[in-house]
Amino acid sequence: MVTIIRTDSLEAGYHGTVVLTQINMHVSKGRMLGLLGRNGCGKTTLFRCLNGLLRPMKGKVYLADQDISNLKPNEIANLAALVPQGARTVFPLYVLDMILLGEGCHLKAWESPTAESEEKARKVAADIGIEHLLGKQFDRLSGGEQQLVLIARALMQSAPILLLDEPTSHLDFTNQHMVMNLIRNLVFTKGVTTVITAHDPNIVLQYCSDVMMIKDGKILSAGPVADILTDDNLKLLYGDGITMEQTPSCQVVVPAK
Amino acid sequence: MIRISGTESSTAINHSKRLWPILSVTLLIFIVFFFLSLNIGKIHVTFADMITIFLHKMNLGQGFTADITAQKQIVFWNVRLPRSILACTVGAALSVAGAVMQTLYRNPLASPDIIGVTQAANLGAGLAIFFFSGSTLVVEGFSFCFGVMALLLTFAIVSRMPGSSVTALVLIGVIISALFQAGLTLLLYMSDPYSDMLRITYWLMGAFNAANWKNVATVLPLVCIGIFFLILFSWRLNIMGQTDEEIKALGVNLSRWRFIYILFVALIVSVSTAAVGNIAWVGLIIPHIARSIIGSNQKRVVPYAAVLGAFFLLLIDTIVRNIPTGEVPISVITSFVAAPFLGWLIFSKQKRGEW
Repeated sequence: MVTIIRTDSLEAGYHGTVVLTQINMHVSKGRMLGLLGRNGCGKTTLFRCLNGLLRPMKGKVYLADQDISNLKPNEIANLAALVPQGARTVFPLYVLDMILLGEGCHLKAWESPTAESEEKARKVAADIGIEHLLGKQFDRLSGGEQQLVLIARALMQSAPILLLDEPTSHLDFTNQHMVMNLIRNLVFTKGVTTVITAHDPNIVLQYCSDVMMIKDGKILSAGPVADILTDDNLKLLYGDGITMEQTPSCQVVVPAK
Repeated sequence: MIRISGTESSTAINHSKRLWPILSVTLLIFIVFFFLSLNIGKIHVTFADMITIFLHKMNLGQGFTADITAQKQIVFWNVRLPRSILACTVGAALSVAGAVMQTLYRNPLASPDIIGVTQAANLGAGLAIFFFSGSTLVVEGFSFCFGVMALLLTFAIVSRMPGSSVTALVLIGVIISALFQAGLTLLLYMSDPYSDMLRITYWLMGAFNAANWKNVATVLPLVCIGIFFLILFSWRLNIMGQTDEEIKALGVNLSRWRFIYILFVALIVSVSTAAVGNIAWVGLIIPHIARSIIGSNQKRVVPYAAVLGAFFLLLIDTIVRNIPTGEVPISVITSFVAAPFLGWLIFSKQKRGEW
């Protein structure tokens, strides 16, 4: 298995306060890693380190074996694409134009997308089933549709790594599973490596191949979902108020009675 | 090219195709109006007169026919033509600057004034009048230097800040504006109310009536350079309109590019202000009109704002210089026209659920 994301004793934080310590992570190509942890545990901080939005205090981040502290922003964007939680623009673009922004990391400052880029954008949109939205204004879409557009924009970067920050947080139940299915399909069909942060352990349980639990800025446990996402580990992470139950079709994480 | 059926998706295609017809129609109206505006005024100069004078100036004509007086020649060549060119140049500069600033600051109420360049340029002009009772050239030179100084000051502060959020940039702009504004108020307070104070106040009102070829020769090339680069980098502005995290994640060096855009904005705003003083509202209102006509894609907004701004300010200046009771400061008219328009724009946007 080829390691595509690697961190070496990473330490990070804000304004001199250390939030994360001793993070050594390895993600193999084509895996889907879910980051779990309570609010303020440092998972967002780790996420921001992975694509260079935050400079680590100590340690290194390697994407595809390249130390990202030596890379320019567009070179990082060529390796890892970010899907933010949501986008709010003051002057809303049409969906097609919004998706085309992902092409920016392949263009020189004075260049703009060509007809070829536009064709690529249409293909990406068709792949994830949003070609009917291309002519709409981004701010007129529902939360789920916006999330899909942001995923399409990230796919335009053609990066081997996709980072999704709480991809389901603003979505209703149907859309949550639609988006997660889509992401899983991308992992299977395109071989992209994905890292997602999630509040709901059920999302990780159902869709991810690997999980990493973070508690108080340190890795609590990490590995394949089947091994790591156990009742005991969940209690260590979230406290005693949570338990796993077996339903006829699958396992679910529920509040303890 | 893949065509997708259905009415919804075809709007985007139509929208991008709409730019050229709209741009060319606007350009055509603008050019026609440009010549029309040279025609009207207290002294009537016909198109035939213009052509004759123009050919003569280019050393191509045979000399004047009897009905072209020296007065007509001066009015057309030395007064109206440079004035109209300057009005168009400044209109384009302020509008492009406004469009870029609104995007960079992600704020529909941003305008070129927001970085403090205008206020600094004002103080520079005031100082030149106060200490050197300056000639036009000294006033312009001081004004330009102060505008650039405000810009450098902004960046000196911004580059020392750990984060560079938009809010911090806005606040620094407010601080710098306030400092230069205070300096100007102090200067006005100290100056002789019967001479310098009048001159400074009059300069602050902004006017094109002092326009001459010398102004045009300094303002036009610098503004053209600034607008050229801002149009060249206009697609990337779409990325700059996203949140800071997204800009970085999309592969753009945020602080470097913010600097580059603001540098060109400061250049065109300070040379414009230095030449003609304060002109209110143009930089705020024209980008909104441009966007409401051709959408928010900056690749279209920036060039279209340039044409629309040039047209708008020429129109207003033509009105100003033809008011029968005598010329009024141009900002009075731009405010009278633009402020109600912005009110209407906000109203209509709210009705459609935007803003």
